Amino acid sequence: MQAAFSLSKNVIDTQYLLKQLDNTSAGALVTFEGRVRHQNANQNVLRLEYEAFSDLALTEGQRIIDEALQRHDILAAYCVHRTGLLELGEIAVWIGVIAPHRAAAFDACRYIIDELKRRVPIWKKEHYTNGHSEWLNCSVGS
Amino acid sequence: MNSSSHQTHTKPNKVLVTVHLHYFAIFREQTGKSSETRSTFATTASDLYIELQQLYNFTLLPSHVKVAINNNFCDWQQSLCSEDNIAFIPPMSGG
Repeated sequence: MQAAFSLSKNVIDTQYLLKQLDNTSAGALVTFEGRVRHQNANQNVLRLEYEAFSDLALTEGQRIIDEALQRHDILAAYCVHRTGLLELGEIAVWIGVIAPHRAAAFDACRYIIDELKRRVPIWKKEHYTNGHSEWLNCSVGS
Repeated sequence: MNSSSHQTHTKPNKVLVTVHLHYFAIFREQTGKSSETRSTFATTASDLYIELQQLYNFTLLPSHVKVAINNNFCDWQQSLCSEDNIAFIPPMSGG
């Protein structure tokens, strides 16, 4: 059985995840894909590298999904985050939420991605086309 | 009261604890290792961070770092116990 929150070293299988969300009680399915884009802060990005503190990330990620289920009228939610090296255009994070109605599905999806970015110990290193690389939000003196 | 007994009352004996440290992202790169076991006289997570910051020249200020002990986020003032697993958490950037 697919855990509600998981980490993946491989390309995220979105078709498999969507299958887990098949439910005739759901009138709404909202998905979010965070993708690797080619530019950030005026730097040309070549690829991204994600690293996770797995034990804590899985605990905190599951906690966020549980909170979404408690706070919003949704039926189920899944979230998968990639680790390792990702090329441009690849999906770094995928979230899917089903609910009887769309408002709760949108709200819960937004809640999960916002809380994930704030609370789940995952780090992103940007590799630039000029050969430099940098962990985000970790510049000297931060 | 002589000076030595006064010192005993105001300065508790230092206790050496052995802890397991786990380094991620920028800390892994700045230490050059993913984990290590260290013995320290630091009594809190905060004291330990300062000790390691001096040792490894960590560039992040403590105010931008969180700490987890035994896979739980915790307060910087949490006391350290022998065999604790400690991770300092750089600013998170998932998503």
